Amino acid sequence: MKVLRWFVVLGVLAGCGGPPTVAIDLRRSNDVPPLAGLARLRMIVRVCGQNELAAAQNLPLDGSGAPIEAGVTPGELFYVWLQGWEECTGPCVPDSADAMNQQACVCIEDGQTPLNQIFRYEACSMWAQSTEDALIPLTLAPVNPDARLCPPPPMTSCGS
Amino acid sequence: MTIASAAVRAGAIAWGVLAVVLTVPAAVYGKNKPRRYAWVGLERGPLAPKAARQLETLLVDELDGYDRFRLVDASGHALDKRLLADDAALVSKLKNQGVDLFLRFKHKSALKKLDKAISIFESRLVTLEDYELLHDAMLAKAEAQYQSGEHGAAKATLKNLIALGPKLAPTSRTHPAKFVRLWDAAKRETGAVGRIEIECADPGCLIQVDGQRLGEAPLVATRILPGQHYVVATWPHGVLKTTVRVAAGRATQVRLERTGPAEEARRAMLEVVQRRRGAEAAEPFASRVASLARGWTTLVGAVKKGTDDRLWLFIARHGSGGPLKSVGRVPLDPVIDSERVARNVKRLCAGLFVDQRADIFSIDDDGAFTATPAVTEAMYASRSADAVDLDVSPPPPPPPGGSLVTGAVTEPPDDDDALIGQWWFWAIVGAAAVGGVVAGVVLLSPDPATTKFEVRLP
Repeated sequence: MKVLRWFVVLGVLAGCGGPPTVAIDLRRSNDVPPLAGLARLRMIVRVCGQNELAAAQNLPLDGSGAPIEAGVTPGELFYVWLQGWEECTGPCVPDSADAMNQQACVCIEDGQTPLNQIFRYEACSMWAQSTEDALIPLTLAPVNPDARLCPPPPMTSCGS
Repeated sequence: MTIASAAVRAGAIAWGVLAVVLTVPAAVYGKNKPRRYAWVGLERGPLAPKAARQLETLLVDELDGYDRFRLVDASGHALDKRLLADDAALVSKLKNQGVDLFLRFKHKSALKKLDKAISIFESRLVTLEDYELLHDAMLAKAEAQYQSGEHGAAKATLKNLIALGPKLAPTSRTHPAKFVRLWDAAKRETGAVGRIEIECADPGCLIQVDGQRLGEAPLVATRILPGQHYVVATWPHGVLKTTVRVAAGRATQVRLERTGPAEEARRAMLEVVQRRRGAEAAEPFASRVASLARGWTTLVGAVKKGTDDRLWLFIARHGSGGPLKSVGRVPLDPVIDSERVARNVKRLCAGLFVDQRADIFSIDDDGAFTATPAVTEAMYASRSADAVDLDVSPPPPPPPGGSLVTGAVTEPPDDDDALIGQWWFWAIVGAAAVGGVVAGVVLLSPDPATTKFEVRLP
């Protein structure tokens, strides 16, 4: 009976591992205003070889958000893309990748953030993988339409 | 208007007309003249070397047929038979002019033309299988030398010609008797045959001696007459030529190795493709190859395995300054000599040089054409180049050299002091058992399917 109890304790201990945490240490470049002035700070996580995003979520601009659990199995290749959106004036066009990349004033109908927004700032990681807790430093910088930094180039092979 | 000013005006008009007459055809000719495209080679990827050579030969043969360009290798040697034909026409013209001058007793001018014809043949046309043009030019040169009184030089030229084994020899019907006697004397003075032992530093080179195809190196070319000979090594991606002097009855060793700036640039560019360092990294080498090959554009091929484990054949075209201009891909069968591979190679080349519906495209098995920017990344970039391993766990410490367990195993126990009687033995067994159970539970427990992301704002 004592032995059985020991195994139960060990099982509980083993199960306490939990998912790893990837901490994103976000900084601003000099030409990026304080984040509080943004309409929206969006985080995208994509896993290599998957069409669906592992995470696509707006982050609280005061930094009060809890860690986000994304569909990234530890060891899988992924990238993180942070997008800073500002409020814009004038007519807006429907939300699409093209409109976003063309820096158009886009209609965001999430009911939580301003309707008219323009994609202004971005930061992204390279393709990365992690089986344990890790830290990724990223710097938010203005979007340069002529030399886009994000997302990283697609992978030809997702094998590790 | 004075007579002087009218003469000046007339002169100016005449010069203007002459300039137009001379420059317009030159400009039109220059515009219509096909450009030289330099072929860097095929990065074979997972393809076996023999299959890769087969595929590259197929590719070069296909590229040989487009009107808008002529294919050369990284050193500028013709890979395109039409370039050789152009050069052969030039040599033929020079030879005929030389003979014509010789017949008009202008021996010096004749020798200049004939020397030029021989020199062009030696620099550009030794890859031909037919050396008759060279033989004719050498014979005409010897005759011109003989007629201008340079008998020694004429005999030396005839010896060089005899060494090449020409099909036709001068006879009393075609040449003066004295010249025929000089030929006979030169032939008598030719020593016993020797041989050339040929090897290539890189595998897969086909050897040709004096226009005769001998096969793949290493090999020994036997029954070679003493004198100068032209050895050519041909790979699918390029040509290497050298002259060899064979002594009577002796063996001459030749090792053919491609070196020099063009070869270095070529290899560097292929390495960029192989290691997927990005299209930008290939640009300086593409520019260098184009410049050294006196070419306009650089072409490079690659075989890569896609995410679906299929093989794909890529061809990229870089502009003269190096920037990537277009890249296309088609599926590739591992069996290269199949009809489907030949058809897909044609489709790919047509997509790049005829249809030109998009700069970056993919063609599927059915010939469907899709413009897709990801093809560039598939050829030039990959995970190995840009992935970052974020596994931050420290490396495991090296096992201690004199650990307790090691000591217990390596040192035999005393007979009087058995292990099972020692308290520490049972401590180790217990620790190992607990450790094994923990490891088993941890290893057998399912991996977490998620990762947490925590963003720390500034």
